[in-house]
Amino acid sequence: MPLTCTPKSPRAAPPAFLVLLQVERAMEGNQLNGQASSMARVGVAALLVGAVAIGCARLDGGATNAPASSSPAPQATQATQTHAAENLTPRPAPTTVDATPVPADASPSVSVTGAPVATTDPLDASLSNLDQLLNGVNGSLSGNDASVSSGE
Amino acid sequence: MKNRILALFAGLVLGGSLLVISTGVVTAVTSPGGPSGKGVCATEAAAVKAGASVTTLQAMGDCEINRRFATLNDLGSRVSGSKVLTSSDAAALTAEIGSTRSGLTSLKATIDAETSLPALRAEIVRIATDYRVYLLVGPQVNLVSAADGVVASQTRISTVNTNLTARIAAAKAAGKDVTSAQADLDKMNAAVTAAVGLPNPLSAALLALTPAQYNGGTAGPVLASARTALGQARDQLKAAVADAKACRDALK
Repeated sequence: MPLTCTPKSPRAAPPAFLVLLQVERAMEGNQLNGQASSMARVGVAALLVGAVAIGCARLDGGATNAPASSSPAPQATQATQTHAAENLTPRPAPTTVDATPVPADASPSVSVTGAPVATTDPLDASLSNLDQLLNGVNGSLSGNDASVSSGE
Repeated sequence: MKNRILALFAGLVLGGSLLVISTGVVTAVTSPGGPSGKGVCATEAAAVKAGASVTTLQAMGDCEINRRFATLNDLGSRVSGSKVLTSSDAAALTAEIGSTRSGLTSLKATIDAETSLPALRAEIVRIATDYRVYLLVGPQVNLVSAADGVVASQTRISTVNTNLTARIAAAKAAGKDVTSAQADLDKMNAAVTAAVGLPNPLSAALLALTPAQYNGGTAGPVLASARTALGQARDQLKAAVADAKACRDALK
């Protein structure tokens, strides 16, 4: 029986605590009945739930469109802030330049999945694209200033 | 039954803590890094100040070269990942980054094999003066990227101009007052005209600069004037985009 992360998986699989109950019943019905101490049961249960939890965490990290759970995003922000605080030395150039300009002639009326979406004005798309390009130019100029101040 | 509930509760608590730990580890692994910034070699510099020896000078030289390697890697990634650099400009920048890296690699080998203090001092100075990673190569990548970005923006603004002109004509044919929209479009085109020509000769001039020219004082003014011109072009194009949006809104 697969240990599946039920909130994220489309497949119908028993939740983790049901799996644990089944394991407990199996233990009670076999030679372990009456021999396993309560601490051993706690240990088995903890390992199983821990494994499922790690599996769920990896699924969350790998999912592209799945809604994020509440804990990873604040942790990422905190980690970023910590990292910034630890690295007080200036870096020569930010890497945001030319990051994701969108082609001017990209069709905005078709989604990634090929399904039709609400029609977007091509002019709006062009203007948005221009905004991105100019932001890239701005990033290059800012990166230039940072590079010069990196010292030589 | 009570034991079972206790076991489940303890398992959930431990599992939850493992979840928190695992996500924290993933976040830590993906954080950026790289010894490229000023001050990275402060420890080595302090050691040289405290007592210059072959060992301390070599350590400082190696550190300074390594941080330049990190910077060159970053610059190379930006060039290869850029979507606005022309292929010829990208090739020229890639070649320059490559030759700078190979030159520094050779200098590092020289420094590592050096035993004379005066020679080591001179070789460490060459790390900066022979290659000018921060004062020339970095600015070249950034300013050429900006220049090519401005050129790409101008091309796309002409598409916007065609679109808005057609809309104004259609609105006018429908009996709508297009005075305001036409004024905005005229302002947009004036801003584009002001921006035109600013970045076009810059890329070639920037790519031709050498560390020797920088050391001789002739490259610095070229970089500074390019920075100024590109800033002006960016501002003009931003104004043009704002005018285009105003024109679009006036036609709604």
